[in-house]
Amino acid sequence: MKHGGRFFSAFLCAIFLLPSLGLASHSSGQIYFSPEEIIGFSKKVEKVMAAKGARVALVARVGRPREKLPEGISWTHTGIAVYSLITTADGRQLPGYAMYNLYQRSKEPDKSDLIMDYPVDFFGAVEVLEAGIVIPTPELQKRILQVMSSETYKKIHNPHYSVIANPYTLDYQNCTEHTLDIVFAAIYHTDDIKQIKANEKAYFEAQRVNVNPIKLAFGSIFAADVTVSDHPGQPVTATFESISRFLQKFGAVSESFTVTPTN
Amino acid sequence: MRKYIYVIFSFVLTGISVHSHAGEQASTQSVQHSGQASAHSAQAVFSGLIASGQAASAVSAVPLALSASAGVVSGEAANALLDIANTPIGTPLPITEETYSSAGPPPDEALKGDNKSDTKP
Repeated sequence: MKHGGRFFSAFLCAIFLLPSLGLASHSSGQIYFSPEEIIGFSKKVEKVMAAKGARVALVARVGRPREKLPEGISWTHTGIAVYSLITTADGRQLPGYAMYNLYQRSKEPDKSDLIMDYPVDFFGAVEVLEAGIVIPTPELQKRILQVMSSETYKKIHNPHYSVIANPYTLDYQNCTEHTLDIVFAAIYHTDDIKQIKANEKAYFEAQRVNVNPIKLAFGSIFAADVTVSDHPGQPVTATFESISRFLQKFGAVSESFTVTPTN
Repeated sequence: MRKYIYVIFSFVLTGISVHSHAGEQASTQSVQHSGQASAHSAQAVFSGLIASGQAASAVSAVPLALSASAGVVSGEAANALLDIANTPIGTPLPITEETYSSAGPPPDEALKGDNKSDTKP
């Protein structure tokens, strides 16, 4: 009985603990809300940003239930919304937002691509209908726009992906680190990634990843998109919250808020 | 000795658990969930909306602030859009009531004539 209890404990550990990190829990592109709900919410996000005159905004989504996220992390993906002239397949031109993202590949999760999509695509498979939004100051918006429309946007992309990429190193990059790198490239008018990293090290405080090191070590063994090799000590990564705090600290935010279907 | 066996057993089970989840993979939901949300069934839903005329298939986007200098604004709405492009940041902006998606048009539409959007995912 005693041994049975231990086996049971081991079984529970295996079944619940590691997946609870989200290290290997995957979506199959499943949608959790009706198309009408997603369309309505996406349009609301667009209208709120447009009403505030945002040409550029950092936008975060919640890809899995909040209770399954590590402590201190509330958002699972960050992209950049750019007010654009959108041309449709039938040739019409519409004013709206385009979303610029670093997405990991579905078949090679340790690799990423830069992909532009639109708000309904961005929020298409979220598990919580909520958007985190940071609207930078006009000057920073202008500079981010310059970066987004230059070769720098692609140049600072590192396709080697890790979900907990260390933002202070050049080894791996995730969606939030790419966003952070764009912000720093914009602030300092540079496409020199080493200079960007030096400035991030000096001024940006990354989020500690509060996950048991043993779990992380095992995650790095079994999940291609998790590595701890770029973390000499306690793992840290860039998050929507930490980028937001950095921008607030240095007076680079016009407004930050969340949008839900009801607020 | 038994203690080690239990530890090893736990690790093996852990590996099985992780591996079984990895098999479901389409986009990783984790500390950073950077998978493309529009993949697979979600994309299929929006393709259906496009097919039924409830959403438009978007084929390109150019930042409106740059549209004026790039000369990409055309048609009846050109003047209004050029005005928007030149308004100071922070001025409220118009948003289309239409829904647009990166999903391509239905195959039968894409097969008609010289529709360049047929390369969309």
